[in-house]
Amino acid sequence: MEDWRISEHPILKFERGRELTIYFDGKPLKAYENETVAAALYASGVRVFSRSIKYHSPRGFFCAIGRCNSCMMEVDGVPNVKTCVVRVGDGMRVKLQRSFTDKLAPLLNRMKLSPLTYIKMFTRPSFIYKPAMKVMRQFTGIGSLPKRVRGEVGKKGDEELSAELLIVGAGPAGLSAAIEAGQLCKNVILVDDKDRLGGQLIKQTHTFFSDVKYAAGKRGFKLGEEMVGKILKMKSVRVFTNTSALAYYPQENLMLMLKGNDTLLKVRAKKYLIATGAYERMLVFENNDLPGVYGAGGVQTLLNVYGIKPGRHGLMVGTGNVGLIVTYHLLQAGVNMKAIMAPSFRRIRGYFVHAAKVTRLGVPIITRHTILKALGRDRVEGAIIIKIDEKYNPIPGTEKKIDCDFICLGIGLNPTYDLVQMFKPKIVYAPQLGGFVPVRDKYYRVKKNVYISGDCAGIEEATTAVLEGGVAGLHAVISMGYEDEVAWAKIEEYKRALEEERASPFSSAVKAALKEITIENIEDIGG
Amino acid sequence: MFSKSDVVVIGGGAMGLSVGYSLLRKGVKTTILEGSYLNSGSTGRNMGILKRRLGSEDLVRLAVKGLELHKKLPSQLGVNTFFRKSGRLLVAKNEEELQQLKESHSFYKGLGLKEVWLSPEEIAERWPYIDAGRLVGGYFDPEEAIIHPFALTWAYFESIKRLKGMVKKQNMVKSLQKAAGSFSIITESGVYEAEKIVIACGAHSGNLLEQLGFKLKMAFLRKEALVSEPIRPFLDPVIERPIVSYEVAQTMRGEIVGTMGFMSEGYDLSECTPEFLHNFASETLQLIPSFRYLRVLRQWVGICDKTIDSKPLIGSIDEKLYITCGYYDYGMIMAPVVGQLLAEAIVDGTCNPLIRPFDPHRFD
Amino acid sequence: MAEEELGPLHRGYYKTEELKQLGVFPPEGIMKKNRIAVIECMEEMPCNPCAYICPVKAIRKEALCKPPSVDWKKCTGCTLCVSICPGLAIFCQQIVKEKGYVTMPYELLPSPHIGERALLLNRSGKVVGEGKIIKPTYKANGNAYPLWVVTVEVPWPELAYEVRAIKIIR
Repeated sequence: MEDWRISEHPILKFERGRELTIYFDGKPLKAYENETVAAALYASGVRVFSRSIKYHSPRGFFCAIGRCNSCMMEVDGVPNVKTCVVRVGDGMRVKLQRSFTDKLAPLLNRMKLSPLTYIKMFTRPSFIYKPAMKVMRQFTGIGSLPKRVRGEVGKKGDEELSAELLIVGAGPAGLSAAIEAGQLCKNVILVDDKDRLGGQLIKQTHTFFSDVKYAAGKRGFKLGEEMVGKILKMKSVRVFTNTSALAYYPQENLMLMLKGNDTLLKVRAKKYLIATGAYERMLVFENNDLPGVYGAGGVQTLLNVYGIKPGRHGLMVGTGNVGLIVTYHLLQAGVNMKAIMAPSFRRIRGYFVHAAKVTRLGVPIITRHTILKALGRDRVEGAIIIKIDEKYNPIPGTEKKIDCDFICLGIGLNPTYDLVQMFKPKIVYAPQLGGFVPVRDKYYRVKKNVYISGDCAGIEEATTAVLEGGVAGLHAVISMGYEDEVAWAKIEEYKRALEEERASPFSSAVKAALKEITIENIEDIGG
Repeated sequence: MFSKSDVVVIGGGAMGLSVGYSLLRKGVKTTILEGSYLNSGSTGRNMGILKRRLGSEDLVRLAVKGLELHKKLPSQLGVNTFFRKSGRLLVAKNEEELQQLKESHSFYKGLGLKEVWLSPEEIAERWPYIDAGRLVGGYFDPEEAIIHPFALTWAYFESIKRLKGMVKKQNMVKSLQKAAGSFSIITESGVYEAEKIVIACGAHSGNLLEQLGFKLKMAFLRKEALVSEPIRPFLDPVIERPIVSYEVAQTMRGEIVGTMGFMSEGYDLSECTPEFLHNFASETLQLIPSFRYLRVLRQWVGICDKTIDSKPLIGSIDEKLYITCGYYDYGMIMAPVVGQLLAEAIVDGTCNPLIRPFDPHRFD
Repeated sequence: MAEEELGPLHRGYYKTEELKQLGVFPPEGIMKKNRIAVIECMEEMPCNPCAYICPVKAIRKEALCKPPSVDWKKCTGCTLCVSICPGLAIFCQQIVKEKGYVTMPYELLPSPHIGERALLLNRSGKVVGEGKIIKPTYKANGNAYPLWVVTVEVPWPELAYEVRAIKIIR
């Protein structure tokens, strides 16, 4: 069996840990201690991770951070486990769900037969309805619950905690806020749903731009390591990993969180800071759900965190910084990239220097084209791209075929607003910031006691996330009474730095949008 | 925009759509006005469980007819309502609860419902995933059924379109007036004129009637519910524990839906509680331990509107003004049958004995 | 594909003549004297490590977002800027007798060894010749992971304006 793991890398050393064995549909596979189930399966050549709910289409992974649900499998009897966030264990038994449709699936697929969603099927004549539904019911649902559960089912443990400041999300924004807040106040809780802190920083192997004072010249993962190192030494900051926020109940000021798999955390805080980041966008084109169509972030995770190649020949869609940088990461890992392509009409969307890095290594950049369809039956085998005109209409006759075994989509991010929304702020749609974002005041408050920072406040960079987190974290503690001249001076410094960061023409749309949704004081609108 | 119909139905829930559909079948030019999006009200917030065990003879008779119509509805409309004859298991955890069930059992048996007593052993044998060791027994009615409320909405919506009726969404009624033999309805996007109107908007019905000078004595109770991720077919019957108003079921799409208890009195749809989540989970895990691996996706609040005697108001409240509301927590089973009978009353002037007990003027 | 119609902001690379017109290259006389920095970074974006690290303050930036400019008279060709630029956009050029020399950042496998031969690539990724890896070629320090600075000898002086990447032949 082929092993897609990378043995040598110019920048990273992959410390794989102990070798273990997991079982996939009964077959033993090699895995390493720190890998996720999905990574280990992928490294062994597994490409189909699930079947879709409607047409039982084969699906691969897409996001690799637990957002898209394409990688759900049955693990040790538990259904619908997100294999891209769960670590392997020795002897773990992993099963593909809905595999009973594997033989039928190509047929169901081809006929586009989905009786429960085509709502008129089998309703007439009346005598076939009942028996037809009995059969159709067998094709519904994803994941089988175990029929018999042994042992006492009781409360494993509820922990009730209180904090002065609860920070949800330990990426650059959350870490920065925790570092600032933790220096002044005594009780900060920092949570993240992943098993390690750092957010997207952990997979950024390229050096950051911006000011040397903050992050420039440092590789993203190094910056992450430094910030995490600081936090772990701070007694005022309690850290919980593998902990997801489930819901916030405003009338009870209660944040319900799930720690690991079985402990409920009930947290009440004086102030909240939401730094939940963003998730990848999907692009609409024929066969866009084939295994082999991946989010650029997902590929970055597979590559730089787990050291696994996504394929041999790739096509990158998107000429923004993400598309350009991830192409570069892939080249560093020894993957051949056929082209970077996007419908960008006026120019390459990202920084020119990022583009120059890859063009001189032989990767052509093709603007003014879009992807028409992905080719392949149950995984990507190629793509058809087509030229577009200034109205973004495809020009017939300009189709080109590109042979590739994976297609990477680096076409933008959407702010993750699910948790913020539960605090009932005023949410607006701001396309220049990536989607739905809350109205905030100049200290990043969306409600009197609720702050946001980072990508969930508007899609920008890691460096702006660090600076925003600094402002929000400091203001949160100042407003609790920990007033301090130095703190105010720091806030002004961060704000000045943010202005400098946004002085380039690349940020003009963002700046304009931010101006519209930033008000003087959130309490003016009933915050 | 200005539009004239024979009848305007205000309210695009199951009840309003059903009345509208039945009127259109009789050739009446009908427009249905929905204030928000389809399934935004009580129709979209309930479990889809069709109940016939409704406490009084007149309600039970209407419900029995209602279930009959539900059974035929998919074929009649040509659209799937995800009707499934699931059966309903009522469980009791102690002798006191069991006694209450026994008493009501003879009442319902007398009305023709075919419930059978099952011992804990029999329950465990039929449904091994139920932890029957904690139960003292239960009653199982094999005829009870469940639908998916969204599917019912779509089914009516498609059929109304086919009959060239109109359902206008996002059309909140701002004012309602009667003048010179017809009604004038001003919404957010137009003026509608109709000879007769039917008010079928659940909890909001009272507000509209006040504009026409009628006062309804209604109470509003908020009820919480939740839904899980869709899983392969697992739970066959609807399971209910009446003493805590607990219900759990699996829809045809695989989702587990559940509800429990009543919250406070109130009219607004906000404020789900962590208590509900906790209590429901606690009750469910004692009943079906396998559900410890089930993930809840959403929880929400719905409103049960209740009259003084907990029975609905169906019929004419004034000349050419009709009402159908006050269905508390059992509206779904009533939609097809009341739609049909009310349409008959509006068009033919008859009043079917099944709906006569629910005359809106019975409190005068 | 009619690439010629679309400018550098579509292709993702400049042609040497375009850069010459933008004044990116120092006068040939200076290049014959010593190694000199060539910064191919023209956009306005927030970034300043090059100005920060230059030991003789030859690199100037008016503001965080303004592109850098090199004072040719001060530059000593130390190559520190090559090793720190996050965009890998700084190179050093030199002409000695009949040969050209290009110093560039390198972050791929295999690791470079002095004396090895490498294919020379221009800005559009085309192979334009073969060259030899010579000094100074070193692993940059700071942040503990390899960013190599590699100097290649290119067969004739004009190529020093072209060669911007290598593929090590092994």
